[in-house]
Amino acid sequence: MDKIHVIIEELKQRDYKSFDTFYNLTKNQVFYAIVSIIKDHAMAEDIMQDVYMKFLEKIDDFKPGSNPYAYLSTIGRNMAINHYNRRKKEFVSEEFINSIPSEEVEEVNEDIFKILDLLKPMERQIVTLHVINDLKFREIAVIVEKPLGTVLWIYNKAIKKLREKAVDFI
Amino acid sequence: MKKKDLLKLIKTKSEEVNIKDFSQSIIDNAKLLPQREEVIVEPKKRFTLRASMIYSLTLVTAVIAFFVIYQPAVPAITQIEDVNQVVVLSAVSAVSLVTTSDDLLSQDDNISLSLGYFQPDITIDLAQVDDEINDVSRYLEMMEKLLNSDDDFGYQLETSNINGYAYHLSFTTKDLLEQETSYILHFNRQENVEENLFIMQGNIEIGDYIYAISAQGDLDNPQNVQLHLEKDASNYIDMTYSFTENMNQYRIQVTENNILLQAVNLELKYENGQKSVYMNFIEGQSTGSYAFRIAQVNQVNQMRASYYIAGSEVESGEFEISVNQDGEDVTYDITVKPQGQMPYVIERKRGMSESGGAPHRGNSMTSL
Repeated sequence: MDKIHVIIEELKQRDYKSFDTFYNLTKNQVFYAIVSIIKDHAMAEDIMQDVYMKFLEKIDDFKPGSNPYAYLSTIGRNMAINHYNRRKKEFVSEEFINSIPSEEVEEVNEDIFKILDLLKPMERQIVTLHVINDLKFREIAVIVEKPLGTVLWIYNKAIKKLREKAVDFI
Repeated sequence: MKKKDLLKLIKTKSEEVNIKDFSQSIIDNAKLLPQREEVIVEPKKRFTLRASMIYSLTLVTAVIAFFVIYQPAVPAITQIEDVNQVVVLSAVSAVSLVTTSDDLLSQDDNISLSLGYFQPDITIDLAQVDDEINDVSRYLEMMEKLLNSDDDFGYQLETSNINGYAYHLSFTTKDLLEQETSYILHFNRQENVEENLFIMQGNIEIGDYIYAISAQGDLDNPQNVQLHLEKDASNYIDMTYSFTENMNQYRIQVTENNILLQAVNLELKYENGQKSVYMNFIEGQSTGSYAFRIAQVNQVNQMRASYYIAGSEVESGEFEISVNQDGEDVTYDITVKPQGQMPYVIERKRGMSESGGAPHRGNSMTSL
Protein backbone atom coordinates (compact mmCIF):
# COMPACT_ATOMS: atom_id res chain seq x y z
CA MET A 1 0.00 0.00 0.00
CA ASP A 2 1.45 3.36 -0.94
CA LYS A 3 1.91 6.23 1.46
CA ILE A 4 -1.29 8.13 0.72
CA HIS A 5 -3.48 5.06 1.13
CA VAL A 6 -1.80 4.29 4.45
CA ILE A 7 -2.64 7.79 5.65
CA ILE A 8 -6.22 7.44 4.46
CA GLU A 9 -6.59 4.29 6.52
CA GLU A 10 -5.32 6.24 9.54
CA LEU A 11 -7.78 9.04 8.83
CA LYS A 12 -10.59 6.51 8.74
CA GLN A 13 -9.64 5.64 12.31
CA ARG A 14 -9.84 9.35 13.19
CA ASP A 15 -6.06 9.44 13.51
CA TYR A 16 -4.98 12.81 12.10
CA LYS A 17 -1.26 12.74 12.92
CA SER A 18 -0.31 12.50 9.22
CA PHE A 19 -3.01 14.80 7.90
CA ASP A 20 -0.52 17.60 7.12
CA THR A 21 1.40 15.17 4.91
CA PHE A 22 -1.84 14.16 3.23
CA TYR A 23 -2.72 17.83 2.76
CA ASN A 24 0.63 18.62 1.12
CA LEU A 25 0.35 15.61 -1.15
CA THR A 26 -3.08 16.61 -2.38
CA LYS A 27 -3.51 20.36 -1.99
CA ASN A 28 -2.45 21.18 -5.55
CA GLN A 29 -4.97 18.79 -7.03
CA VAL A 30 -7.79 20.15 -4.87
CA PHE A 31 -6.85 23.74 -5.46
CA TYR A 32 -6.63 23.43 -9.24
CA ALA A 33 -9.81 21.39 -9.52
CA ILE A 34 -11.55 24.33 -7.87
CA VAL A 35 -9.72 27.22 -9.47
CA SER A 36 -10.20 25.83 -12.97
CA ILE A 37 -13.89 26.58 -12.46
CA ILE A 38 -14.12 29.67 -10.32
CA LYS A 39 -10.84 31.40 -11.28
CA ASP A 40 -10.46 33.11 -7.91
CA HIS A 41 -7.40 32.22 -5.84
CA ALA A 42 -8.75 33.37 -2.44
CA MET A 43 -12.17 31.84 -3.01
CA ALA A 44 -10.56 28.60 -4.10
CA GLU A 45 -8.60 28.43 -0.86
CA ASP A 46 -11.79 28.95 1.12
CA ILE A 47 -13.54 26.17 -0.75
CA MET A 48 -10.50 23.91 -0.25
CA GLN A 49 -11.18 23.76 3.46
CA ASP A 50 -14.76 22.69 2.80
CA VAL A 51 -13.50 20.04 0.40
CA TYR A 52 -11.22 18.48 2.98
CA MET A 53 -13.92 18.63 5.63
CA LYS A 54 -16.33 16.91 3.27
CA PHE A 55 -13.68 14.31 2.48
CA LEU A 56 -13.05 13.60 6.18
CA GLU A 57 -16.76 13.59 6.97
CA LYS A 58 -17.46 11.00 4.28
CA ILE A 59 -14.13 9.20 4.46
CA ASP A 60 -15.78 5.86 5.14
CA ASP A 61 -17.29 6.11 1.67
CA PHE A 62 -13.81 6.17 0.09
CA LYS A 63 -13.18 2.76 -1.42
CA PRO A 64 -9.77 1.23 -0.74
CA GLY A 65 -7.63 1.22 -3.87
CA SER A 66 -9.43 4.17 -5.45
CA ASN A 67 -7.44 7.13 -6.69
CA PRO A 68 -7.62 9.71 -3.90
CA TYR A 69 -6.51 12.49 -6.24
CA ALA A 70 -9.41 11.80 -8.54
CA TYR A 71 -11.75 11.50 -5.57
CA LEU A 72 -10.65 14.83 -4.11
CA SER A 73 -10.69 16.46 -7.52
CA THR A 74 -14.29 15.35 -7.94
CA ILE A 75 -15.33 16.76 -4.58
CA GLY A 76 -13.47 19.97 -5.33
CA ARG A 77 -15.03 20.34 -8.74
CA ASN A 78 -18.56 19.69 -7.44
CA MET A 79 -18.20 22.16 -4.61
CA ALA A 80 -16.79 24.76 -6.97
CA ILE A 81 -19.73 24.27 -9.33
CA ASN A 82 -22.19 24.61 -6.46
CA HIS A 83 -20.43 27.77 -5.38
CA TYR A 84 -20.40 29.11 -8.93
CA ASN A 85 -24.11 28.47 -9.36
CA ARG A 86 -24.92 30.18 -6.09
CA ARG A 87 -22.90 33.18 -7.19
CA LYS A 88 -24.66 33.23 -10.55
CA LYS A 89 -27.95 33.80 -8.79
CA GLU A 90 -26.51 36.91 -7.23
CA PHE A 91 -25.90 38.36 -10.67
CA VAL A 92 -28.03 41.46 -10.10
CA SER A 93 -25.99 42.67 -7.17
CA GLU A 94 -22.86 41.42 -8.91
CA GLU A 95 -23.59 43.61 -11.93
CA PHE A 96 -24.20 46.53 -9.66
CA ILE A 97 -20.95 45.98 -7.83
CA ASN A 98 -19.05 45.58 -11.05
CA SER A 99 -20.42 48.88 -12.29
CA ILE A 100 -18.71 50.69 -9.43
CA PRO A 101 -15.18 51.75 -10.36
CA SER A 102 -12.74 49.88 -8.17
CA GLU A 103 -9.82 51.68 -6.63
CA GLU A 104 -7.86 48.51 -6.16
CA VAL A 105 -8.00 45.93 -8.88
CA GLU A 106 -6.33 42.73 -7.84
CA GLU A 107 -4.05 41.75 -10.62
CA VAL A 108 -3.60 38.11 -11.47
CA ASN A 109 0.12 37.65 -11.15
CA GLU A 110 0.52 33.93 -11.42
CA ASP A 111 1.43 32.87 -14.94
CA ILE A 112 -0.45 29.62 -14.62
CA PHE A 113 -3.77 31.47 -14.40
CA LYS A 114 -2.89 33.58 -17.43
CA ILE A 115 -2.07 30.43 -19.35
CA LEU A 116 -5.25 28.66 -18.34
CA ASP A 117 -7.26 31.78 -19.14
CA LEU A 118 -6.36 31.26 -22.78
CA LEU A 119 -8.72 28.28 -22.76
CA LYS A 120 -12.45 27.83 -22.76
CA PRO A 121 -13.95 26.58 -19.48
CA MET A 122 -14.15 22.88 -20.37
CA GLU A 123 -10.72 22.97 -22.04
CA ARG A 124 -9.31 24.57 -18.89
CA GLN A 125 -10.83 21.92 -16.66
CA ILE A 126 -9.59 19.00 -18.73
CA VAL A 127 -6.07 20.39 -19.14
CA THR A 128 -5.91 21.13 -15.42
CA LEU A 129 -7.11 17.69 -14.39
CA HIS A 130 -4.70 15.92 -16.77
CA VAL A 131 -1.56 18.02 -16.75
CA ILE A 132 -1.61 19.43 -13.21
CA ASN A 133 -3.65 16.87 -11.32
CA ASP A 134 -2.12 13.91 -13.20
CA LEU A 135 -5.45 12.21 -13.75
CA LYS A 136 -5.98 9.72 -16.54
CA PHE A 137 -8.33 10.65 -19.35
CA ARG A 138 -10.59 7.80 -18.32
CA GLU A 139 -10.89 9.29 -14.83
CA ILE A 140 -11.44 12.76 -16.24
CA ALA A 141 -14.23 11.48 -18.47
CA VAL A 142 -16.04 10.25 -15.36
CA ILE A 143 -15.51 13.49 -13.48
CA VAL A 144 -16.65 15.83 -16.26
CA GLU A 145 -19.34 13.38 -17.36
CA LYS A 146 -18.28 13.31 -20.99
CA PRO A 147 -17.33 10.43 -23.28
CA LEU A 148 -13.65 9.53 -23.36
CA GLY A 149 -13.42 10.46 -27.03
CA THR A 150 -14.86 13.90 -26.36
CA VAL A 151 -12.40 14.48 -23.53
CA LEU A 152 -9.44 13.53 -25.77
CA TRP A 153 -10.71 15.74 -28.56
CA ILE A 154 -11.16 18.76 -26.26
CA TYR A 155 -7.74 18.14 -24.70
CA ASN A 156 -5.89 17.96 -28.04
CA LYS A 157 -7.65 21.09 -29.25
CA ALA A 158 -6.68 22.93 -26.04
CA ILE A 159 -3.05 21.82 -26.25
CA LYS A 160 -2.85 22.93 -29.87
CA LYS A 161 -4.19 26.33 -28.86
CA LEU A 162 -1.71 26.67 -25.99
CA ARG A 163 1.26 25.65 -28.15
CA GLU A 164 0.53 28.70 -30.27
CA LYS A 165 -0.32 31.17 -27.53
CA ALA A 166 1.67 30.20 -24.46
CA VAL A 167 5.08 31.02 -25.89
CA ASP A 168 5.11 34.35 -24.04
CA PHE A 169 5.26 32.60 -20.70
CA ILE A 170 8.45 30.68 -21.25
CA MET B 1 6.29 25.43 -28.78
CA LYS B 2 6.77 21.70 -28.45
CA LYS B 3 4.07 19.82 -26.62
CA LYS B 4 6.58 18.40 -24.17
CA ASP B 5 7.79 21.89 -23.28
CA LEU B 6 4.26 23.16 -22.91
CA LEU B 7 3.31 20.43 -20.45
CA LYS B 8 6.46 21.06 -18.46
CA LEU B 9 5.70 24.79 -18.44
CA ILE B 10 2.17 24.26 -17.11
CA LYS B 11 3.39 21.89 -14.44
CA THR B 12 6.18 24.20 -13.34
CA LYS B 13 4.02 27.29 -13.27
CA SER B 14 1.31 25.49 -11.30
CA GLU B 15 3.86 24.59 -8.63
CA GLU B 16 4.92 28.22 -8.28
CA VAL B 17 1.57 29.19 -6.83
CA ASN B 18 1.58 29.51 -3.09
CA ILE B 19 -1.36 27.71 -1.56
CA LYS B 20 -2.04 28.45 2.06
CA ASP B 21 -1.68 25.68 4.58
CA PHE B 22 -5.03 25.09 6.26
CA SER B 23 -4.17 21.65 7.54
CA GLN B 24 -4.24 22.55 11.23
CA SER B 25 -7.61 24.29 11.13
CA ILE B 26 -9.00 21.37 9.13
CA ILE B 27 -7.74 18.93 11.76
CA ASP B 28 -9.26 21.07 14.51
CA ASN B 29 -12.61 21.05 12.75
CA ALA B 30 -12.36 17.37 11.88
CA LYS B 31 -12.01 16.50 15.55
CA LEU B 32 -15.41 18.07 16.11
CA LEU B 33 -17.05 15.80 13.56
CA PRO B 34 -19.48 13.35 15.14
CA GLN B 35 -18.29 9.77 15.32
CA ARG B 36 -20.02 7.73 12.69
CA GLU B 37 -21.94 4.81 14.06
CA GLU B 38 -22.32 1.73 11.99
CA VAL B 39 -25.85 1.78 10.69
CA ILE B 40 -27.41 -1.09 8.87
CA VAL B 41 -29.79 0.44 6.40
CA GLU B 42 -32.57 -1.88 5.55
CA PRO B 43 -34.51 -1.27 2.37
CA LYS B 44 -37.82 0.38 2.89
CA LYS B 45 -40.63 -2.05 3.13
CA ARG B 46 -43.05 -1.82 0.27
CA PHE B 47 -46.65 -2.50 0.99
CA THR B 48 -49.17 -2.79 -1.74
CA LEU B 49 -52.32 -1.98 0.06
CA ARG B 50 -55.36 -3.76 -1.08
CA ALA B 51 -58.49 -1.77 -1.64
CA SER B 52 -59.80 -3.31 1.53
CA MET B 53 -57.18 -1.45 3.53
CA ILE B 54 -57.58 1.80 1.73
CA TYR B 55 -59.64 3.14 4.53
CA SER B 56 -57.51 1.98 7.38
CA LEU B 57 -56.18 5.42 8.02
CA THR B 58 -59.62 6.86 7.55
CA LEU B 59 -60.54 4.80 10.50
CA VAL B 60 -57.65 6.14 12.46
CA THR B 61 -58.94 9.63 11.84
CA ALA B 62 -62.32 8.61 13.07
CA VAL B 63 -60.88 7.13 16.22
CA ILE B 64 -59.12 10.32 17.01
CA ALA B 65 -62.15 12.41 16.25
CA PHE B 66 -64.12 10.14 18.50
CA PHE B 67 -61.69 10.59 21.31
CA VAL B 68 -61.72 14.30 20.77
CA ILE B 69 -65.48 14.40 20.92
CA TYR B 70 -65.35 12.78 24.27
CA GLN B 71 -62.87 15.30 25.66
CA PRO B 72 -62.76 13.81 29.16
CA ALA B 73 -61.30 16.90 30.69
CA VAL B 74 -62.73 16.14 34.10
CA PRO B 75 -61.74 12.69 35.26
CA ALA B 76 -64.55 11.15 37.20
CA ILE B 77 -66.29 7.90 37.93
CA THR B 78 -68.71 7.98 35.06
CA GLN B 79 -72.19 6.74 34.68
CA ILE B 80 -72.67 3.83 32.33
CA GLU B 81 -74.05 6.13 29.66
CA ASP B 82 -70.88 8.17 29.85
CA VAL B 83 -68.69 5.13 29.45
CA ASN B 84 -70.65 4.10 26.43
CA GLN B 85 -70.36 7.57 25.11
CA VAL B 86 -66.61 7.41 25.45
CA VAL B 87 -66.48 4.18 23.52
CA VAL B 88 -68.80 5.37 20.83
CA LEU B 89 -67.12 8.68 20.39
CA SER B 90 -63.75 7.02 20.24
CA ALA B 91 -64.92 4.65 17.58
CA VAL B 92 -66.54 7.36 15.54
CA SER B 93 -63.45 9.47 15.76
CA ALA B 94 -61.41 6.64 14.37
CA VAL B 95 -63.57 6.35 11.32
CA SER B 96 -63.46 10.03 10.57
CA LEU B 97 -59.68 10.04 10.15
CA VAL B 98 -57.67 9.99 7.04
CA THR B 99 -58.89 8.85 3.69
CA THR B 100 -55.90 7.52 1.92
CA SER B 101 -55.87 5.52 -1.26
CA ASP B 102 -53.37 2.83 -2.09
CA ASP B 103 -52.12 4.89 -5.01
CA LEU B 104 -51.53 7.77 -2.71
CA LEU B 105 -49.59 5.57 -0.34
CA SER B 106 -47.36 4.32 -3.13
CA GLN B 107 -46.28 7.78 -4.11
CA ASP B 108 -42.98 7.46 -2.30
CA ASP B 109 -41.44 6.11 -5.48
CA ASN B 110 -42.35 9.28 -7.25
CA ILE B 111 -41.66 12.13 -4.95
CA SER B 112 -41.34 15.08 -7.22
CA LEU B 113 -39.04 17.89 -6.32
CA SER B 114 -39.57 21.20 -7.95
CA LEU B 115 -36.08 22.45 -8.51
CA GLY B 116 -37.19 25.78 -9.82
CA TYR B 117 -35.17 27.53 -7.21
CA PHE B 118 -32.04 25.55 -8.03
CA GLN B 119 -29.59 25.25 -10.79
CA PRO B 120 -30.04 21.68 -11.96
CA ASP B 121 -26.53 20.52 -11.19
CA ILE B 122 -26.59 21.55 -7.57
CA THR B 123 -26.39 18.61 -5.28
CA ILE B 124 -29.08 18.62 -2.63
CA ASP B 125 -28.89 16.14 0.14
CA LEU B 126 -32.23 16.02 1.90
CA ALA B 127 -32.64 12.31 1.93
CA GLN B 128 -34.27 12.06 5.32
CA VAL B 129 -37.02 14.59 4.85
CA ASP B 130 -37.68 13.32 1.33
CA ASP B 131 -38.05 9.81 2.68
CA GLU B 132 -40.41 10.94 5.39
CA ILE B 133 -42.66 13.15 3.30
CA ASN B 134 -44.65 10.23 2.00
CA ASP B 135 -45.29 8.89 5.45
CA VAL B 136 -46.29 12.33 6.64
CA SER B 137 -48.58 12.74 3.63
CA ARG B 138 -50.70 9.87 4.89
CA TYR B 139 -51.65 11.93 7.91
CA LEU B 140 -52.37 15.24 6.22
CA GLU B 141 -56.06 14.62 5.75
CA MET B 142 -56.32 13.52 9.33
CA MET B 143 -54.58 16.71 10.41
CA GLU B 144 -56.95 18.80 8.30
CA LYS B 145 -59.95 17.34 10.08
CA LEU B 146 -58.49 17.41 13.55
CA LEU B 147 -57.40 21.01 13.24
CA ASN B 148 -60.31 22.49 11.30
CA SER B 149 -63.35 20.72 12.77
CA ASP B 150 -65.40 21.90 15.69
CA ASP B 151 -64.11 20.62 19.01
CA ASP B 152 -67.14 18.41 19.60
CA PHE B 153 -67.56 17.48 15.91
CA GLY B 154 -71.26 18.38 16.37
CA TYR B 155 -71.95 14.87 17.58
CA GLN B 156 -75.41 13.56 18.40
CA LEU B 157 -76.18 10.31 20.22
CA GLU B 158 -79.58 8.76 19.59
CA THR B 159 -81.34 5.42 19.68
CA SER B 160 -80.59 3.43 16.57
CA ASN B 161 -83.38 2.67 14.15
CA ILE B 162 -81.44 -0.20 12.63
CA ASN B 163 -82.23 -3.72 13.73
CA GLY B 164 -79.51 -5.29 15.84
CA TYR B 165 -78.09 -2.02 17.15
CA ALA B 166 -79.10 -0.09 20.22
CA TYR B 167 -77.39 3.21 19.59
CA HIS B 168 -76.76 5.64 16.78
CA LEU B 169 -74.12 8.33 16.94
CA SER B 170 -73.45 10.86 14.20
CA PHE B 171 -70.78 13.49 13.88
CA THR B 172 -69.21 15.72 11.24
CA THR B 173 -65.70 16.76 10.33
CA LYS B 174 -64.54 19.72 8.30
CA ASP B 175 -61.45 19.93 6.09
CA LEU B 176 -59.29 22.81 4.85
CA LEU B 177 -61.73 23.51 2.00
CA GLU B 178 -64.51 23.73 4.61
CA GLN B 179 -66.10 20.61 3.12
CA GLU B 180 -67.95 18.46 5.62
CA THR B 181 -67.88 14.69 6.00
CA SER B 182 -70.60 12.88 7.92
CA TYR B 183 -70.03 9.74 9.97
CA ILE B 184 -72.61 7.45 11.50
CA LEU B 185 -71.86 4.80 14.08
CA HIS B 186 -74.36 2.08 14.97
CA PHE B 187 -73.30 0.12 18.01
CA ASN B 188 -74.10 -2.01 20.98
CA ARG B 189 -72.41 -1.94 24.35
CA GLN B 190 -71.85 -4.41 27.13
CA GLU B 191 -70.64 -3.86 30.62
CA ASN B 192 -69.04 -6.20 33.08
CA VAL B 193 -69.24 -4.47 36.42
CA GLU B 194 -67.39 -7.24 38.23
CA GLU B 195 -64.40 -6.85 35.95
CA ASN B 196 -64.90 -3.11 35.65
CA LEU B 197 -64.89 -3.45 31.89
CA PHE B 198 -66.97 -2.16 29.06
CA ILE B 199 -66.96 -3.44 25.50
CA MET B 200 -68.44 -1.73 22.52
CA GLN B 201 -69.00 -3.24 19.08
CA GLY B 202 -70.53 -1.80 15.98
CA ASN B 203 -70.22 -0.51 12.45
CA ILE B 204 -69.32 2.90 11.21
CA GLU B 205 -70.51 4.37 7.93
CA ILE B 206 -68.77 6.92 5.77
CA GLY B 207 -70.75 7.45 2.60
CA ASP B 208 -71.08 4.05 0.96
CA TYR B 209 -68.39 2.45 3.10
CA ILE B 210 -68.94 0.52 6.30
CA TYR B 211 -66.33 -0.70 8.76
CA ALA B 212 -66.47 -2.85 11.84
CA ILE B 213 -65.09 -1.35 14.98
CA SER B 214 -64.70 -2.39 18.61
CA ALA B 215 -63.44 -0.71 21.74
CA GLN B 216 -62.97 -1.48 25.38
CA GLY B 217 -61.90 0.24 28.56
CA ASP B 218 -62.36 0.53 32.26
CA LEU B 219 -65.81 1.42 33.42
CA ASP B 220 -64.42 3.75 36.03
CA ASN B 221 -61.73 5.33 33.91
CA PRO B 222 -62.88 6.61 30.53
CA GLN B 223 -59.56 8.36 30.09
CA ASN B 224 -58.03 5.12 28.89
CA VAL B 225 -59.65 3.41 25.94
CA GLN B 226 -58.33 0.86 23.45
CA LEU B 227 -59.88 0.67 20.05
CA HIS B 228 -59.40 -2.00 17.43
CA LEU B 229 -60.50 -1.56 13.87
CA GLU B 230 -59.93 -4.39 11.53
CA LYS B 231 -60.50 -5.18 7.93
CA ASP B 232 -59.44 -8.76 8.39
CA ALA B 233 -57.25 -10.76 10.73
CA SER B 234 -54.06 -9.56 9.04
CA ASN B 235 -54.91 -5.91 8.45
CA TYR B 236 -55.95 -3.72 11.34
CA ILE B 237 -55.41 -0.60 13.34
CA ASP B 238 -54.96 -0.39 17.07
CA MET B 239 -55.36 2.80 18.90
CA THR B 240 -54.88 3.71 22.53
CA TYR B 241 -56.21 6.90 23.95
CA SER B 242 -55.31 8.57 27.21
CA PHE B 243 -55.96 11.95 28.67
CA THR B 244 -53.18 13.39 30.77
CA GLU B 245 -52.19 16.87 31.80
CA ASN B 246 -54.77 18.58 29.60
CA MET B 247 -53.56 16.69 26.58
CA ASN B 248 -55.31 14.15 24.43
CA GLN B 249 -52.74 11.54 23.57
CA TYR B 250 -53.10 8.80 21.00
CA ARG B 251 -50.89 5.95 20.04
CA ILE B 252 -51.78 4.57 16.62
CA GLN B 253 -50.44 1.32 15.21
CA VAL B 254 -51.10 0.38 11.62
CA THR B 255 -50.65 -3.32 10.87
CA GLU B 256 -50.78 -4.59 7.33
CA ASN B 257 -50.37 -8.18 6.28
CA ASN B 258 -49.46 -9.00 9.88
CA ILE B 259 -46.56 -6.56 9.81
CA LEU B 260 -46.52 -3.48 11.97
CA LEU B 261 -46.14 -0.86 9.29
CA GLN B 262 -46.06 2.20 11.42
CA ALA B 263 -46.71 3.53 14.88
CA VAL B 264 -47.15 7.16 15.75
CA ASN B 265 -47.86 9.13 18.87
CA LEU B 266 -50.22 12.06 18.52
CA GLU B 267 -50.87 14.80 21.02
CA LEU B 268 -53.69 17.24 20.58
CA LYS B 269 -53.50 20.39 22.62
CA TYR B 270 -54.21 24.08 22.71
CA GLU B 271 -51.36 26.55 22.77
CA ASN B 272 -52.09 30.26 22.99
CA GLY B 273 -55.66 29.54 22.07
CA GLN B 274 -54.68 27.65 18.92
CA LYS B 275 -55.18 23.98 18.32
CA SER B 276 -52.01 22.01 17.56
CA VAL B 277 -51.31 18.40 16.75
CA TYR B 278 -47.91 16.95 17.56
CA MET B 279 -46.96 13.76 15.79
CA ASN B 280 -43.96 11.50 16.44
CA PHE B 281 -43.11 8.43 14.44
CA ILE B 282 -42.14 5.73 16.92
CA GLU B 283 -42.18 2.54 14.84
CA GLY B 284 -41.37 2.00 11.20
CA GLN B 285 -38.95 3.64 8.82
CA SER B 286 -39.73 7.23 9.70
CA THR B 287 -38.30 8.90 12.78
CA GLY B 288 -39.35 12.53 12.60
CA SER B 289 -41.40 14.76 14.87
CA TYR B 290 -43.93 17.21 13.49
CA ALA B 291 -46.14 19.97 14.89
CA PHE B 292 -49.17 20.96 12.80
CA ARG B 293 -51.26 24.10 13.02
CA ILE B 294 -53.82 25.90 10.88
CA ALA B 295 -52.89 29.25 9.38
CA GLN B 296 -54.82 31.65 7.20
CA VAL B 297 -53.12 33.28 4.22
CA ASN B 298 -55.25 35.77 2.24
CA GLN B 299 -58.31 34.32 3.96
CA VAL B 300 -57.47 30.84 2.71
CA ASN B 301 -56.83 28.02 5.14
CA GLN B 302 -53.50 26.26 5.01
CA MET B 303 -51.56 24.06 7.41
CA ARG B 304 -48.12 24.73 8.68
CA ALA B 305 -45.88 22.18 10.25
CA SER B 306 -42.48 22.36 11.79
CA TYR B 307 -40.37 19.23 11.57
CA TYR B 308 -37.33 17.76 13.27
CA ILE B 309 -35.73 14.57 12.07
CA ALA B 310 -32.92 13.10 14.11
CA GLY B 311 -31.52 10.52 11.74
CA SER B 312 -27.98 10.11 10.46
CA GLU B 313 -27.94 13.91 10.44
CA VAL B 314 -30.36 16.22 12.17
CA GLU B 315 -32.71 17.94 9.76
CA SER B 316 -35.28 20.54 10.65
CA GLY B 317 -37.46 23.05 8.92
CA GLU B 318 -41.04 23.83 8.05
CA PHE B 319 -43.79 22.74 5.70
CA GLU B 320 -46.49 24.99 4.31
CA ILE B 321 -49.36 22.87 3.09
CA SER B 322 -52.17 24.24 0.98
CA VAL B 323 -54.96 22.48 -0.88
CA ASN B 324 -55.45 23.20 -4.57
CA GLN B 325 -58.69 22.28 -6.28
CA ASP B 326 -58.83 22.16 -10.05
CA GLY B 327 -62.09 20.55 -11.06
CA GLU B 328 -62.00 17.02 -9.73
CA ASP B 329 -58.28 17.15 -9.09
CA VAL B 330 -57.43 18.11 -5.56
CA THR B 331 -53.80 18.24 -4.57
CA TYR B 332 -51.57 19.34 -1.76
CA ASP B 333 -48.85 21.85 -2.49
CA ILE B 334 -46.22 21.21 0.14
CA THR B 335 -43.54 23.86 0.35
CA VAL B 336 -40.61 22.34 2.21
CA LYS B 337 -38.34 24.86 3.87
CA PRO B 338 -35.31 23.03 5.22
CA GLN B 339 -33.36 25.10 7.69
CA GLY B 340 -30.39 26.73 6.01
CA GLN B 341 -31.35 25.53 2.55
CA MET B 342 -33.46 26.72 -0.32
CA PRO B 343 -37.16 25.82 -0.21
CA TYR B 344 -38.73 23.53 -2.74
CA VAL B 345 -42.24 22.41 -3.57
CA ILE B 346 -43.76 18.97 -3.69
CA GLU B 347 -47.19 18.25 -5.07
CA ARG B 348 -49.12 15.35 -3.61
CA LYS B 349 -52.47 13.95 -4.53
CA ARG B 350 -55.10 14.45 -1.88
CA GLY B 351 -57.16 11.40 -1.17
CA MET B 352 -60.52 12.84 -0.21
CA SER B 353 -63.36 12.99 -2.67
CA GLU B 354 -65.48 16.07 -3.20
CA SER B 355 -67.79 14.87 -0.52
CA GLY B 356 -64.81 14.94 1.75
CA GLY B 357 -64.98 11.43 3.06
CA ALA B 358 -64.56 8.67 0.55
CA PRO B 359 -61.14 8.00 -0.85
CA HIS B 360 -60.25 9.37 -4.21
CA ARG B 361 -59.66 6.67 -6.77
CA GLY B 362 -57.44 6.54 -9.81
CA ASN B 363 -54.86 8.65 -8.16
CA SER B 364 -51.85 9.82 -10.10
CA MET B 365 -48.86 11.89 -9.32
CA THR B 366 -48.58 15.29 -10.91
CA SER B 367 -45.09 16.59 -11.15
CA LEU B 368 -44.48 20.26 -10.86
